[in-house]
Amino acid sequence: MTRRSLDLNRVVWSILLVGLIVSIALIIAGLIWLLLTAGTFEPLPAITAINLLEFVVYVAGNAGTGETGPAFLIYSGIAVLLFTPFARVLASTLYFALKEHNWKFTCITGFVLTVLMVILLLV
Amino acid sequence: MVSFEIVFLVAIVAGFFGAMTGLGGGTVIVPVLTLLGVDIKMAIAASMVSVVATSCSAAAMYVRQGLVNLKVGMYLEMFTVVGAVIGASITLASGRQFLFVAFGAVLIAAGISLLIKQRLSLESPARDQQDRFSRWLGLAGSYDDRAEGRRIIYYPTRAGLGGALMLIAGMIAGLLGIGAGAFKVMVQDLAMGLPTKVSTSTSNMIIGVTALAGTSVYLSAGLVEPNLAVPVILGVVVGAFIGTLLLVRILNETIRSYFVVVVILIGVVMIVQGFP
Repeated sequence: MTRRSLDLNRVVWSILLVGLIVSIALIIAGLIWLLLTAGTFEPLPAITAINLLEFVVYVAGNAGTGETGPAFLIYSGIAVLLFTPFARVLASTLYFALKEHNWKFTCITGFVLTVLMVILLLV
Repeated sequence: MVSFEIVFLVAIVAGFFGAMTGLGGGTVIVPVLTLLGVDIKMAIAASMVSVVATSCSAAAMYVRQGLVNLKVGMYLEMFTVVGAVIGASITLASGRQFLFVAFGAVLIAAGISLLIKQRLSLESPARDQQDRFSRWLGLAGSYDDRAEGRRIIYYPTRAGLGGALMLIAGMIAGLLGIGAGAFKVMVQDLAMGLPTKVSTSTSNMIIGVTALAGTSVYLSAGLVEPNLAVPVILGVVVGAFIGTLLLVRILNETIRSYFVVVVILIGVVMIVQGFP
């Protein structure tokens, strides 16, 4: 394995691991908070039909207005989890473009990124 | 609605079975949730979110070990993300009976293909057998094989065929809320000639992005129910972790085959549920 591909391995590995740990930690923290305050795990407010961007804006909006609570932590965890693969594709595109100058794979990962953005933001 | 605790426990068992068989937690959690009375579309949506989590966990481990061929994975993702969106859209438009039958048929096919694959011994193509397109993409790779104590260099071929087949694998994943890892591994093994260790680990990386595409369709349709999705995410991750630990320590291929047979039987139950 070349030094370059090893670097990309490290970037991908770091993003996946950090994303997973942060998301699971947020969900567990929210559940413990819910159990301590409400005495039960249920019910969490429903997520109405929204795209992922609206979901993140909703979570961030709650944080901005100080309306945080167990559900906020749990939803933040879900948002972080869903954005982890997206962040991996974004980082890969940047890596191929800026570090490797590999335009074939910049286009390939760029295509995946574009499809994801369309679905995540517009569907 | 089934209680949080029950869904969590069921998800642990599903994650465990998924790791044992190599089929992923979604193949078990969806059928079991439907048996508990959960709507199949909500079960599929919850499973799809959990697939993102298990993929991140497994892919991180394999990437660190240097087993993932990132270029092959990123090339094939072009096809699986499109397939996942098509598959998830079909689910939204489909009747529930169709989903039960489709899920059952896919489980049986995946289980049988795993049993057959265990008996196959595949040779990776040599450098001069690589087709021009795969060479142009620069898909060749290498990894350290600890069992053989040497570095294995391999040359994937038929990238065009692999991409087309991955579109179908992505559709199955999006349609049924599963990783469809068995199909993705088979495409890379049989069509593209990747070593099984590389195809298994690369498949795990592809699954995460594919599942994200499917999840976003279900999220926008309002099918992601947090009271279901949260215990499923946590349970499947815990179960998969336990399953992976046991898999590498105590189990052999024969015992693994028994788990696959159970999955095939679950497939039969799903088909029966589809014909009330």
